[in-house]
Amino acid sequence: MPNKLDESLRPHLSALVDGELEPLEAIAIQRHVRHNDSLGAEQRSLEQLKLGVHLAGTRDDPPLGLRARLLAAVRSEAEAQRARRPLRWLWAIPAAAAVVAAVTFAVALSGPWFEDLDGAVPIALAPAALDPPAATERPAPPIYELDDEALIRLVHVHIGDLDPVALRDMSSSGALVQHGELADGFLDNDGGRAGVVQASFMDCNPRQRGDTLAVFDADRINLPPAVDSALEGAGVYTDVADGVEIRITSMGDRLFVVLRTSPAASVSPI
Amino acid sequence: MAWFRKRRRRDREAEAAFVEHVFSHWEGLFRYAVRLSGDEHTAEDLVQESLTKAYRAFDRCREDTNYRAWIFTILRNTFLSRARRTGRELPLEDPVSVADEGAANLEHALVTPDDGWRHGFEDEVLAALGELAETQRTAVVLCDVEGLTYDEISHVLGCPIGTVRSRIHHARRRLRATLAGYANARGYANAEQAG
Repeated sequence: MPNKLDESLRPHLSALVDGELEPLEAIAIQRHVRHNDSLGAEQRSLEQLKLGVHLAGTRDDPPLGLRARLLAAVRSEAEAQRARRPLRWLWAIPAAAAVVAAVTFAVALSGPWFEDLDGAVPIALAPAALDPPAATERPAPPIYELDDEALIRLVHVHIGDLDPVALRDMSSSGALVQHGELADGFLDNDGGRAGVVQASFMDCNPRQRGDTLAVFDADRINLPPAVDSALEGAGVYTDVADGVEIRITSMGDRLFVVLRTSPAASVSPI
Repeated sequence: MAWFRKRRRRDREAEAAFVEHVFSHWEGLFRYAVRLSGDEHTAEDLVQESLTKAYRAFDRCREDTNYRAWIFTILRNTFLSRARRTGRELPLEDPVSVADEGAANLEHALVTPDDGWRHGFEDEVLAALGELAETQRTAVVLCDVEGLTYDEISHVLGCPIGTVRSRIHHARRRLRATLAGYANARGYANAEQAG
């Protein structure tokens, strides 16, 4: 006839085998099991079953290459996440534009006024107009700062997060130029020229796919020191931002920036 | 460019932390997924989807997160969601307990050097696991195969530790009953008893 105490202990044997009982509880049950053949046999049976399940469950090796495939999926997700990440400084673009417009308007209002003799339309003169440069002086060409912010803006035009009109300042400064004749070997054969879209706020829109190529007038560009030194050294500067590979190189008076979404693609430096 | 470098370094550190804390369980996840889904292709899909989901949420984890329990929970939830979407029936409720026929001694099978009988026995164990309710199977597989604690399993199953204990107890009774039948049918249990 089954002992009531024995029966009440049976449900705890699994937890005992798994080492999941409180220490005092485990000691008490073990002491009882030691003097009870039936419970002892059940404990051994559970231990064997646990081992059997473990051996069966770990018998088969995972498929070949699974680890690499899973790791690639995680890395791909990481890249996608970076590409989706909003830029914290984006709000500053319209704000800066508003400030510039306000300052321009204020300067215009506070400047000297002359009455047009033929009508009542006021003409605002910029302060420089009051003191024109000597006829022999030629205005220096504007220098465009191709800094981190400008590159990121270009990256986001490439991705499609920003409208190509965001490149207007590059174009209007005269730094961003069209370049019909690309040097052979600049782009890899797989990409091909057909997949390249030159970056200007006209040519980028609409752009469905392909790499972005921005060609700058090197004389009108200021580069960050790191890019400068890379161009002087290896001749090519590479970086990755928001899942987009950035490659910068120069040839003659032209500076080339290639943006490519797939970092795996290769670009041969000139 | 310093800004790029800083951000890139932060991204690399996050990836390294994910690989160390979460991705490192990929083999266990795959084994568990096979036991849940029943085939390797679906299991691979499940693990991939779970790791991707986990990566998306990884930066929101607290420092004291138990990543092992967390990723196994994601995997199970992904499996259950898929099963609901595809209309696959799941025996989610624990079945009525079976009578324990636990007299069979399984030692004969387990201590014998690798031979045809043992391989057959392991197949039998896996088949018996597949017949368990999903909650019981999860509890036993995570405990015996993957070595999770009851606390971690309770996290995965979303139930108290006492329920985990009960599920493991009932699952093992059922497994023993099934496997005892297998051993008896081949005369091993009888031979053991006779010996």
